[in-house]
Amino acid sequence: MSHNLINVNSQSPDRVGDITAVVDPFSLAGAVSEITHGASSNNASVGDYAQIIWGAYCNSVRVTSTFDFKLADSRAIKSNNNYFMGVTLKEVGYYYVEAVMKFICTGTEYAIVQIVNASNNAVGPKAYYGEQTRQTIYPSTIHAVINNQSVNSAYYFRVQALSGTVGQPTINYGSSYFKCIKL
Amino acid sequence: MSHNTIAVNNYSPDITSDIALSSSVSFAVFGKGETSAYSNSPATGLATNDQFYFYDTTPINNITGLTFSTTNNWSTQFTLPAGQYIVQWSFHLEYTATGWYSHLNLKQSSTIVGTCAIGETSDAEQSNGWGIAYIAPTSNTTYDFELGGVANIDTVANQGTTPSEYGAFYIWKVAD
Repeated sequence: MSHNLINVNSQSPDRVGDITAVVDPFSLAGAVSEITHGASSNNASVGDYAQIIWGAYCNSVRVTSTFDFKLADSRAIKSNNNYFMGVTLKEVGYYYVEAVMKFICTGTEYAIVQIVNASNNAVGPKAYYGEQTRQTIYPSTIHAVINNQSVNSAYYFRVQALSGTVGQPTINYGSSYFKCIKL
Repeated sequence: MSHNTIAVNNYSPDITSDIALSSSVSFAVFGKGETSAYSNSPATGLATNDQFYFYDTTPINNITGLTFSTTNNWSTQFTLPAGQYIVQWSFHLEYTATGWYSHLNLKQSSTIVGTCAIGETSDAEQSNGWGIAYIAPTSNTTYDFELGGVANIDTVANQGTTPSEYGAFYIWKVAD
């Protein structure tokens, strides 16, 4: 009998030697987080990295050993210590990154955001926030499958273009979240 | 102790006899923001029931039995073997006037199996053209993407690189 001789994912065999092991095919991490806005003076500009401050819900985030949130990056171009969104992927392999965000907007503006690597090369499709004839910018999904080819590589959510005075990402309208899955 | 005497899926026990068993998901990716004019695609129009094409020069496919059909790196359709899958997709289009709108439907022959919308009308409310569908073919089955409910969408020639830069779809195999 293998009882007490071996475990699988810390699950021990039962009396007949069977192990009911839980294997999660999606190493889900960062399932739910809050995206809040900073000072109104920190509106988005072309070349900015989307500014996201992780709030109270961070306590519920399942952070694994395979990635880190990228906060307060040294490349931040704003001066008031706002955080700039990014992620460091610790292992070689494929990751799925997805976030839903909404930008503060008071007039006829839009922003285009894309996930880029540390050299500003796009690694996923663009996401469009807003439309010039609308009064507000609604939540939009930004996503990418990243083929990370070296350990500890950084990726950023970058504003690639915008029109008008687009503000911070905001939790308004709800459904703001970020997730990173090691595939 | 079972150390060095047993393995599960080629995972061996550690020194405390625990096997850290992991798994991976089979997935496919088509589209990552590359730039190509939509006029390079097979598209001849952007009306309801016209096919929509995604662009990728190096798509990822590690789903056994999945095949992408492409023309000049534009996807025309894909075929999945029996199994259970989640498909996600996003798209964006250039428009000609306010009140613009379009669905993007995932279709199996003439049957819509999933949809999403983008545009400016009250139906769209600036939704972001982000679709998700669960499909479970029981044998090799072919799918494509087609537009629906089209209003005030610009011509193929005037789409520029918008469809290629914003369009992508993912397929996740979630069960056999």
